[in-house]
Amino acid sequence: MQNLIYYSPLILTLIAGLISILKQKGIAEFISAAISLYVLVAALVILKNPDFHSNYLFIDNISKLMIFTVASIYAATVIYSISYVKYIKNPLFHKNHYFVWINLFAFTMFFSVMVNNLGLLWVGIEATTITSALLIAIEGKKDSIEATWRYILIVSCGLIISLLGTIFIYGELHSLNIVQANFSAVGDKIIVIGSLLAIVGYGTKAGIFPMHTWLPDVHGKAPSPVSAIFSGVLLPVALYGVYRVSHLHYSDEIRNFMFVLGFLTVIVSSLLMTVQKFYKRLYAYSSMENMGIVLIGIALGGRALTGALIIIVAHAFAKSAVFYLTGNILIRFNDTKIKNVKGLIKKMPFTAYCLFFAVLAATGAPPFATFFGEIMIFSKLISIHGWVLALILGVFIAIAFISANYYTGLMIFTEKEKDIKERKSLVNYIPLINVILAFGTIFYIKFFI
Amino acid sequence: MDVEKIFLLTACLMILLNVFIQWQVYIKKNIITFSINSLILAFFLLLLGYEKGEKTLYLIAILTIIVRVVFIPRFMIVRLSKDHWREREIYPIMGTASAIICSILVVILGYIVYTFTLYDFLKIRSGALPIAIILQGLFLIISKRNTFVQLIGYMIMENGVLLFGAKLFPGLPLIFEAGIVLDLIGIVMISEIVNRLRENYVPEELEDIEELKG
Repeated sequence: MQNLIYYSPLILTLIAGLISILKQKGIAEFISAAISLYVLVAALVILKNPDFHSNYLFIDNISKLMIFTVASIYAATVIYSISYVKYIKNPLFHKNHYFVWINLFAFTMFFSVMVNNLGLLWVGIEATTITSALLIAIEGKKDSIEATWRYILIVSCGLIISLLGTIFIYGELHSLNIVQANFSAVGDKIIVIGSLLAIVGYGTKAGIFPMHTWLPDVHGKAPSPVSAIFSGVLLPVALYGVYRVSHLHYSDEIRNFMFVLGFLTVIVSSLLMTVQKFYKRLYAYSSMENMGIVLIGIALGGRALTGALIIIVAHAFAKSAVFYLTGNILIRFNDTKIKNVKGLIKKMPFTAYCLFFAVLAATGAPPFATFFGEIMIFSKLISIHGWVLALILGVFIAIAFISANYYTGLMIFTEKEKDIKERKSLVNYIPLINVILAFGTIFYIKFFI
Repeated sequence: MDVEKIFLLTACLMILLNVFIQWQVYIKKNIITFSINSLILAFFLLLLGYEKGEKTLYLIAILTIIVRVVFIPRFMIVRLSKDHWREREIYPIMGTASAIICSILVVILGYIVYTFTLYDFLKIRSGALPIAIILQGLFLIISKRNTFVQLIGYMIMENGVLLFGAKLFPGLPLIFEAGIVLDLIGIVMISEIVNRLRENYVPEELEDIEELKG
């Protein structure tokens, strides 16, 4: 009975999903908000509790941190969505069903980061595709439906590679239990091949090069709260899968492979960021760049892994704030092009200031926690691979930083053209809270890791 | 009973059926062929279970028959019969002859890739066949516009992976298999909903959508 708290995120999100099926006005919103806040409290309690291993669950420090991150962004997204869904003009399905899917989506993410079985981890990550697909398409526009189909197809095919990898891992270890599997492999090549395949597959879901193509489409076309939860926590949940399979066996091949993939992801995303015309796609590539950096952190291990965890938490808060704010802009401007959004500072000052700081936080500007995370990764990178690689990586991160902030600046600090007013809603404070939490990550993270 | 020979026969039959799916333009025939493809896989699992004395393999075979042979193909055919215009691939990217040649080339590619990579570790020559099936599934997705056929391509990939797993490492945990099947059902259902919506907008050819580039 005392272990029930560990199961509560799974049970409660499932209950919230089921209750939201009811079509009574307001019930889905109320239940989802109440349960998401309760789950956030439960996540905080789990953070303080000791590790927990059972036949079904495996909760160590990394899992706890992921549970906390998922719970935070889930709660913020549900509350923000209550106000946002009103602006969806012709939803594909009843608005209550939006909450059904978002609760089930949270359930599958919690399941993925808590389960004590590499096979079920795969099942959980694949299930996130099912539960999130219709959330992308809810606005019923031609391009959002096309993006949804691309998402289903590319991610599912990528995850097939992970399935193959997981079967290899099972063939070598004769068990998929994470407790038994951790660092138990004896250096057979089969486990290395299995891990590499699984990393490629989970990398697809995390937006890692070369199978990242679904990511900007989906982030660009999904409703803003959905983009926020995708960018903030879905990508890190997939990287959690990468982390688990890469820790079955200590191998330089696996680490170098992850390092190269992460490096290429940073290069590709930062170069693509320079030519973006649409602001949501720009921020999507920024998420991809951050996931590349996190993958490098996982590959390097040690303090770089700590840096990667800091980035995951801080980026989740910062980037979700960015996407909530793009929601505010989209509602008022009704345009996704960067050049058509001008004079935010005069027309929507609250959104403008929040966006300015949120983008700084997401792109790793000091004194935000992402900056300190990057510094930790850099110091490990220099000690392992030397200055040259660190310098090259630094240049590309700088390109991404300048691109994101330059385009954001174009939207904020230009002359006003349209007569637009700030949206008045209490949920506007969610991005502000998230930016503050992103800033504060560096102070509270030490209690968790 | 020689499991190796039965495996070779199973894999070769599946490859041939995949070539058939590749050039066939009638979607209903493709769905039925996929169902037969899965049935062959299920038979192999049953025989393997009998040979190895593994009860799990029997259960997995039964699960395969229920879901991949009966339920999903039936679901797809029922959906198909509601819109007659979806019964045929209207604008195939590739002609019949080139589709057959490419599908066979993909098999050869699978063999080469396997020989130079995984064979070194696994030391089982026939392991190339499931890899060829996976690549055929992938090629089907790339080379077709019809979303039903793309979905069949995805399921062929999964069949290839299951065949590979059954041959090399028999006895995957049942809970894992059950999870895979549940996910597959979910993917098929969701894909059907999305495709229905998608075809309302883009019935024949996809337009260029500016915002989904770059």
